[in-house]
Amino acid sequence: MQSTPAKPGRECLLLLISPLLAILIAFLVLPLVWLFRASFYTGEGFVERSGFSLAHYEHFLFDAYYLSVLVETLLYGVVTAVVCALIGFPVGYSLARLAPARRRWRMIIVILPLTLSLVVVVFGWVAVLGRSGLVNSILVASGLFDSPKTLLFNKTAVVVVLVQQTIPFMILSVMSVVAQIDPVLEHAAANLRANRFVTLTRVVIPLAAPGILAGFVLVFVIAISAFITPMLVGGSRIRMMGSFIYEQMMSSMNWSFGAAMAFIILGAGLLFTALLNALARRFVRR
Amino acid sequence: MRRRPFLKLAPTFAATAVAAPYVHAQSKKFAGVTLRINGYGGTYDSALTANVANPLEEKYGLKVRFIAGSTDADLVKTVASRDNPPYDLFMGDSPHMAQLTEASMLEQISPSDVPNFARVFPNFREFGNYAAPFSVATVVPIYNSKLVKEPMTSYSDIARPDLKGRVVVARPGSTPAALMMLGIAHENGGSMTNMEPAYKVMANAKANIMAMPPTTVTQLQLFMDEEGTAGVFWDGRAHEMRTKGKPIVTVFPKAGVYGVTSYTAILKGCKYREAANAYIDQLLSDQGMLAIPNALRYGVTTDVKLSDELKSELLFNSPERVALKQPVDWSQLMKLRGEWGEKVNKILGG
Repeated sequence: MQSTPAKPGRECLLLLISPLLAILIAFLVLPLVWLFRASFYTGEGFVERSGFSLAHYEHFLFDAYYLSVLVETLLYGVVTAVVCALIGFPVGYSLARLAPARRRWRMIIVILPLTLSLVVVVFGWVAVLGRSGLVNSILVASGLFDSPKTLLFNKTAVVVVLVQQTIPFMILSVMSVVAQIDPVLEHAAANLRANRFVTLTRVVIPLAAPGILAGFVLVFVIAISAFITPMLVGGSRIRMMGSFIYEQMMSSMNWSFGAAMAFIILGAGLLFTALLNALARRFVRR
Repeated sequence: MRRRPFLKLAPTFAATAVAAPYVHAQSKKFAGVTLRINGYGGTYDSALTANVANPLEEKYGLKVRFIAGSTDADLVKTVASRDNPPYDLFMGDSPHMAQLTEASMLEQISPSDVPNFARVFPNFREFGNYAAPFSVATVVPIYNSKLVKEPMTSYSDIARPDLKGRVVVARPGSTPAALMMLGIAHENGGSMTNMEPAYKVMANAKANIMAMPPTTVTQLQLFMDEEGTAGVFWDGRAHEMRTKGKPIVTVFPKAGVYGVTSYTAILKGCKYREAANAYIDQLLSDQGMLAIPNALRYGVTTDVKLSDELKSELLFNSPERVALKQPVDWSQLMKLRGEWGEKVNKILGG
């Protein structure tokens, strides 16, 4: 008689995850607690660390300008996530349907940008889109323009760079879910005279929805916390919370206000993600 | 030689040959010591390495490591880890030193341990013996003469209609941005306590300002790539671009200019106090003092002798120009610059 392996006990599981838990508590939870406390300090400098006040939250939440920055940041997150979903889904789907041997090199190409430093990637874009960069050189050499155009420092440039940075997360999320959808289901749909579009919209996308949603949330969260990209590619009129927080922390030295802004974007991000999850749950039930 | 004496002598010779360089290095006063200093990056750090760090290594075996980054960010890191600072010495401008002094994070420099400290001009000792001034940097209007036909003459010229979409200035809230705001306010009848005139100019410059990069090196890159053709920038970095072939013109506004003194200070908790003294002494020596003017044409703070050519190329090369350098209340500026930055952000982004 074949014996089934014993299930690991609760203590054993705790022991297994304890190193990760310790790292998370030491390097994520404790700094977050400190930052949360700092957001209530009364002073504006970074030397004075005492008192309790809601002034920094009030400063942000009762100022139409800062609220508009928050909304704009969330919109950048949504636009980036939607573009990533539109471009990333076909790539993730095609990778999932390839044999593992043929998938390997394509996967490396998808993952490669994640191995590069973000600063290097952003400076690469500055070099490509700059007035003396590759794109302008091609446009001028081909006679499309007489002189180089400013391609950087606008909303489109920010979205393009954010999409490039985050699209691997969407592709990998979609691929991991689509790989588990049995291709027989698509054949069955075809046998029932469903065309490719109907199969895609009525069979594949609903089944891949958890992967798309996971990718959407990942991309959204990374995009709304971006600060290097808007600062280097965005120019003077692109407003995102990340660069404002950086400015408060590093230039204005107003740690308390910076910390309050950090928790506001964290709260807004969590709320948005929860809403998205609730919507997705309803969609999947149907 | 017979076999037995050879076998006795050979290991001795081999050991001597292997150990000689090591023993030689160890015989130097600071062999094995490495000082960590935050760096400004690029040409600045290269000049200090060649004229301060390398002579110290040669003479004492002392190694110096410049860790390049944004000075504002370095200051934040240093204050955040005040019990175990990431640097032994801190290199920063007047506002940074004001913050470090307020946070009681600096060690006093004893003139008896640092003989060259006595050579510093008294008017540069803004922080007494707590920081060694070694360079004077000024933020001035600059433009690319190939691409800007009408010369700029003032800070306020960044609002000129012909510069639409081509102006690059420092990020609001940063030291150079705060000094630029003071310059604009001063030109238009304002002051540190009345920045309204500066805000009006910034509102007019809204369509002109295309980028506000977070670091000096990024700003320099935008001028080098000709993304930006005009702006307000450090005078020494403008010189650096000229040496690289860019036709960048530095403007000396008639109403006055605003700048900072650059300092190096010993942080409390520095493990190698004697080595830090040696660094500061070399920095204030003739060779060290000329490092930055030779590379970037920033001004000097001691009685070092300057060549006529070098003197003519420095920004403050006449008594009339020296008289136009405006004094700044640094602790007041540090309190107000966040508010100015917020207001400018609202003007430009609103």
